[in-house]
Amino acid sequence: MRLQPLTICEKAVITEALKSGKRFDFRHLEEFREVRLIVGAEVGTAICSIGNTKVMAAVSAHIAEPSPMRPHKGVINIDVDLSPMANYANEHDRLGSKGMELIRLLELIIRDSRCIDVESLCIRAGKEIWKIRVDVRVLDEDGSLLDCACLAAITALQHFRRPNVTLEPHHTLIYSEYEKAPVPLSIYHMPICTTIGLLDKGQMVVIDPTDKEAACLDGSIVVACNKRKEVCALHQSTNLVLSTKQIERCVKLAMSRAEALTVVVSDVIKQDQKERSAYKRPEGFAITVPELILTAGTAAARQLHPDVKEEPMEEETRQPRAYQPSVILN
Amino acid sequence: MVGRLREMRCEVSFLKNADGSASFSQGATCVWASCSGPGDVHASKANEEAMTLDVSYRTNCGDNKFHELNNIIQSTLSKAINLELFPHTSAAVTIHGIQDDGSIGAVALNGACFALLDNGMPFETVFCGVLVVRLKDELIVDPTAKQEAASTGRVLFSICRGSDGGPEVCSMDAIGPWDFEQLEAAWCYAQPSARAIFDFYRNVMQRKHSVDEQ
Repeated sequence: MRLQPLTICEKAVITEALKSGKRFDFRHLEEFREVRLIVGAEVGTAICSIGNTKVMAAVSAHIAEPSPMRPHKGVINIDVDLSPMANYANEHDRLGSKGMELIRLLELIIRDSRCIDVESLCIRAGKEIWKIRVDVRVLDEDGSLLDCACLAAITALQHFRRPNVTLEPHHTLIYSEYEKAPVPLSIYHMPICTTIGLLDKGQMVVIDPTDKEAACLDGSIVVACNKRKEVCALHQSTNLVLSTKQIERCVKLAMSRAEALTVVVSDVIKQDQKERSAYKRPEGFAITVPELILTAGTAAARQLHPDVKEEPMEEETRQPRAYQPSVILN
Repeated sequence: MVGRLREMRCEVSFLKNADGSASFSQGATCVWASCSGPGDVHASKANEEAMTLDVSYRTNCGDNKFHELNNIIQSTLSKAINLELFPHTSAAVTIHGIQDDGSIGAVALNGACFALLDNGMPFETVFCGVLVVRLKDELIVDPTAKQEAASTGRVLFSICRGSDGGPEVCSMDAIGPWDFEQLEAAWCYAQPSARAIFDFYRNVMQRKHSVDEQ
């Protein structure tokens, strides 16, 4: 189905509002939307939402043969799926230019920034390596898609545990999670993306624009940086000419954002680890998603016939309340 | 026999872009489903007699071009909706299996039905899915992933609501050796579950359309 374009009067209203420093969701120009982050019951799954944008990332690993050029390095593959769920203009199994851009940028941010130690993914040089696959599934889009996808992917990578292996002279033993504890990936740093919209030839910045706002902007710049104040990637969407000062300002904004979000990601991972090490069965998305992410304005998750339940009642009443990380930055 | 469904939860209309959306979970198995349409269709796919249905079940990992569930969902949908009402249009139904803890096929069918209900599609009959597995000569309705993996036979019923309000088999997907008596027994166990799911549909949609609760 075709996308409905933004009407001219709508565009005029939004542009006028932005120029006077007002936005339709009552934010300031330099205010981010709320970030919500949930990890699943399976290792290596995470859902991230920024405002209405929702992205799910799942990480999986399997053993493969390395390329002859890099015999002792693991491989990280990134796959993006833009289904009609995210936007009815999308088609199943077809990426389009938006999806291609997203894939390339995620590759740039996650693979080419070398945040994951690929050498630790080697099992037997030239023979066996771990191939890590990051599947990014866009569930709903409303601006800042790259920020959300990147955050979900990074959280999923942090959450992921690969099976433990031991090397025997002629074969490799792969252990299940019950025999030997799975191993986390070694991650050097967490690149965090920030989308900054530009208005008035880059004179004004509009942080974290929604879809409708993005349609009224002159362009946007995406800065990926980590908490050590290193810029991992910089991407500009249109051909605006920006001065060094303007870019520096954007980078500064992105740095403070990256610092705050890094704390959120490590909090979520820590909380999850604590629960897992206490042998609590993680509920994952089934219970937490309706409460945390779905904000339809309707009543909370409904249940049918409490007597049909298999789980005991306590399971439901003690829900991980402290497990609700959300940040609003001013 | 264990003839019980796990706890069901559902939330509808929570996605911004899709016309109808639902997050449905049974126990720890969770799917997100969305339905958009009827909308315009590409000329190469257009059907002048009926609506073009584009159904896709997406797993978390790997390529999703072909999935075994697409078939049963597609055939059930085309029976449940009168496609001839909307010629020259298309509808896209996407189901993301967010978390799999057994009977994902049944959950995907239920989620799809919720998304369509939320979109306000004109139904001929509502439908639901119930998975029954055989585990050591014992039939289990709505198994968890562990039970499903240990089972010797699986049968996924896609169930429509008949004219008398009772459940009727719409399509069926059986894996493993089943004889007729076992299948009949499985169907007997699936019926009360289907009734429970139909009641749940009614509850949720009544909640959605009621004014005072929001």
